[in-house]
Amino acid sequence: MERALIFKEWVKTRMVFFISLGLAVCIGLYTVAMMNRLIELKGVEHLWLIMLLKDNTFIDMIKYVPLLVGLAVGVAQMAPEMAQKRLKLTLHLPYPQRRLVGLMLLTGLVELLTIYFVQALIIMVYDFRILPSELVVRVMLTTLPWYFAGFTAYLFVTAVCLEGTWKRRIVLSLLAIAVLMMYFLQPAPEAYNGMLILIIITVVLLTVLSFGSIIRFKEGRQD
Amino acid sequence: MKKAYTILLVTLSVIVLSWFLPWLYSLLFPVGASDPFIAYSPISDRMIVSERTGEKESVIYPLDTDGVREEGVVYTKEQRDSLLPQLYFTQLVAREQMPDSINGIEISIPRLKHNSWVFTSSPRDINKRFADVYLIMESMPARIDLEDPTEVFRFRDGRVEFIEMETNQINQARSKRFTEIFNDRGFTLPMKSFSANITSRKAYDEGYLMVDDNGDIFHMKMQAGRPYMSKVRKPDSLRAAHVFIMENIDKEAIGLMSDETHNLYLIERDGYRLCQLPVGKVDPEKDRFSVVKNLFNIIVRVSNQDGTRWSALDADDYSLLASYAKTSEKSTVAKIGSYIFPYTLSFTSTSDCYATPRIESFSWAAFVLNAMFALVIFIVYRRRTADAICRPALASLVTLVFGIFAFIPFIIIRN
Repeated sequence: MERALIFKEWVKTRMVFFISLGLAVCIGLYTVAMMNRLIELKGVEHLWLIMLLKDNTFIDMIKYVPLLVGLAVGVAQMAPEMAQKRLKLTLHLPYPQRRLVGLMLLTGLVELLTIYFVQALIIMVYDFRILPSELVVRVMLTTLPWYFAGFTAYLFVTAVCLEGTWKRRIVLSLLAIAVLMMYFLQPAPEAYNGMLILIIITVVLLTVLSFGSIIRFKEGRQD
Repeated sequence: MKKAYTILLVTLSVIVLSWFLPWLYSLLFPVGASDPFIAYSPISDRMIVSERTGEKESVIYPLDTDGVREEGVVYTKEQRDSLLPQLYFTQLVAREQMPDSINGIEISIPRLKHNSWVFTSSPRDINKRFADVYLIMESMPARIDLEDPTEVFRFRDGRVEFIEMETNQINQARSKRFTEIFNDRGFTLPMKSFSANITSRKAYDEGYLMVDDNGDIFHMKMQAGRPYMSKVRKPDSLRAAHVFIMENIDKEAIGLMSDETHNLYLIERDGYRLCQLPVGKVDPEKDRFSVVKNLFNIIVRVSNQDGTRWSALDADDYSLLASYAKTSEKSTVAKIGSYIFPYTLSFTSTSDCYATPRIESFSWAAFVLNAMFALVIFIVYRRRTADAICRPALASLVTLVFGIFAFIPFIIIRN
């Protein structure tokens, strides 16, 4: 049953998954190519100087990519459930409801994790060639909040899509915008190190929103 | 699960509104404040204040030795130029009013320029996460002009490691030499504070001022590829907290230092003599401060959210000549805000480069509005729910604490 459910989610999202993966890889490679170009033109010392004196990590281009990918995967996975009124059928499957929703979310989150991991790996492998470990860790810690913003966007999108009433969808959307803004308030490198634990707890708690939307849907709260 | 969903939704709404509403309020009702410009006249031995009073108007007046405005004395810009020749010498030269000497000190434009420098420090420069690798310049380059650094150093396993940027490889020979001198001088890791001015656009390079784990100060630089390191002599009771290197044209001071009890010191270049500056407490992690030096005096300005204070010191012996303080007054907008918001939540600050939740500006004045909101919530919830007391009481209690931040979600989010 689990395999069938995962396959169902995979069928819905595979197109967006591969497009997102392609986008993430392309932008990751483009970021690396831009760094390489700078090194060819001005030398690797110049890159180090800019990184250390101007607090630049040279990866600003990927900043909003995880967010976009999270939104895209969330919409691709959950919008058909509501638009084609398939959610009722899904909920009638002979499978515990919580595990069902949990499996749906897990599928989406694993897809996102794969995309983010591949992109981060491209940057990390390149950076390790030209930078000491201290600077590579600094760069990767700077990207972490952006990837968590992607997970947050995905979880809010699923909750909004699974919600049956427009009023609550608007409330959830406004909350989503505000929460997502918090991930991009401070551009300094490693600025979010102090609240990474809080961010992880928030992302875990946000899964509750989708379960809540399903409960409300089953209670008949629909427009 | 439904309870968890409702609690999470309300909690998220309260957090978001605690951040968003005060931010929106400050955006809609901005409050501007500017400090006056204060200099010390070697002619009149008075602090001269230039204070903006309108869009384009300003008033210039002297302060007596106690920092009190002298009644009825207002200067024109021309009078101010004459009283502060160390600052406005170009105006005086243009008007052919430049004196030859002041207080027996012969002055000329080159001499005035040679003895003038400005140093500023902001908490934002200190309160941030630094990379654990440090650029280092060659202080004695083969050619006269300074060049951009080609190596960095880091501390690893009790060693100082030099890494060549071009190859990303460790320079073993240099690492060994520097590790030896760090050990010889008694530098205790980890490093608590450091300061260097990495740029080739300066006259000379003094490398790094560093504070080790014991609060000792060290001056370290690389000369012809070899290490130079010296420990600054100081009383054992004095533990340094922050250091700031200076590479001024007069070459009299090598830097500034603040100790753990927030006293400020100037480190003279010759003999690394520590000279305490009588300017009161300065905490570089919280206070913005500037040191403006000229041939005759030094003006130290220290500002924080409570206000700003200026101290005029003698340029030779650093004795206090005069001081003036101005406390920040709460604006009307802030006063009104304190009646609306019981607290504010922010994730960023102008005094650091961290993103972290900070709850501040607690206000008991907002309790009245909170109580009114709580009453409304109690009545509304009694009508909405079948529960006679429990839920309405809980909702109104939460509103009593969180005020408007809880009132809005409780009204909007039903059930």
